[in-house]
Amino acid sequence: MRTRLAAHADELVAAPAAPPLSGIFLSFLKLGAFAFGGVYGMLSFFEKELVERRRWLTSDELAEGIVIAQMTPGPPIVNLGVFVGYRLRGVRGAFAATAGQVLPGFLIVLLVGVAYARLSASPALRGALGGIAAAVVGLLGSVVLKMGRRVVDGAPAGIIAVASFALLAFAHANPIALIASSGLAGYLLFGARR
Amino acid sequence: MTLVKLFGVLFAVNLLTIGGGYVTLPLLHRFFVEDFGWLTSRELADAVAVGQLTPGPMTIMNVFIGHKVAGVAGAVTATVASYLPSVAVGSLVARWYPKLRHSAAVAAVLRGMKPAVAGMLLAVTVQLGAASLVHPVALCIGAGTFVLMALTKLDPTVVVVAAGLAGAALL
Repeated sequence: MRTRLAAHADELVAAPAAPPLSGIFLSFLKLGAFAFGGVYGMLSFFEKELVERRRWLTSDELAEGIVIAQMTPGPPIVNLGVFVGYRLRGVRGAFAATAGQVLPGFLIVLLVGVAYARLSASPALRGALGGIAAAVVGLLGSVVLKMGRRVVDGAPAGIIAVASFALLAFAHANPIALIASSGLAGYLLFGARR
Repeated sequence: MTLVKLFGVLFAVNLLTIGGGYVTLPLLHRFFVEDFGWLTSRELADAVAVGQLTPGPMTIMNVFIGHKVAGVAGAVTATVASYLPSVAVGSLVARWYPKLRHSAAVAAVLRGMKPAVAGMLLAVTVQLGAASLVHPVALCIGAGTFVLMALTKLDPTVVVVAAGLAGAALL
């Protein structure tokens, strides 16, 4: 009994705040199930679950995570989970957070995929999908507008944007090559002087 | 072979794009619609709609694409390929962040990439529009969505649901 208590006390001292992988998985499963509206719409949920309820990180650390999440490849909201999971339990924590966050959407989309294959002949569904496809185009237009306003901060950026549009739309350029060369252009244009 | 190709494209696309969902569209359109002929423009637009309507990141639409291309195995392949880059690069960055945050070179590269992404996204919007906005009702829905999303802070999910209902009734 005494040794068990002593061992328990040692454990508490040695590992004060590393939550179990299952805890990380479950927290992010919950976040993944209610994640509508992208990274900004989700921030209040993240704040409540990770900062206030679990106390896994501070508000400042969360803000830092959001900055990193937007600078690294992949969807920002998943990257934020990777950042939090990694801080808590290393690479395994990053995997646990990602698996939890992605699982609900994965299952729902899989079901939708099966239904889509069976029902796409129904006129009402075809009409609904037609309406949604049209809305997606409008949605994308507004994303382009907002993104453009934010990132086109001068003539060089404007030229990169217009050239990328034209090369992709009219010259069938390789999009991966476009991203790589615009990164290089950014390095040469904005990185040379300090 | 299809699964290998699916994995390779989604892994590369998610490794090379920053911002997720919409940002990957120009690349997905090029490879899946134009080069491989696995999807039509309309089906890609449907995938975007599904991604928008379901919880989780928008890239969850890749599950829909994977399922369309190669069934359940395709869906699983697409999921792993889409999120592995995040875990790999994110873990490295979380580790090295204190050094990276002050790197002027990283900031300059990103500053060049962002306007390119905006330009490429416009090109894809035009392509999807040409495929989706053929009916006058569809044109109205598209234009209405654009105005609403550009001028208000309405949740896109609400607009997409309303557009689906309008489409079912009128298209």
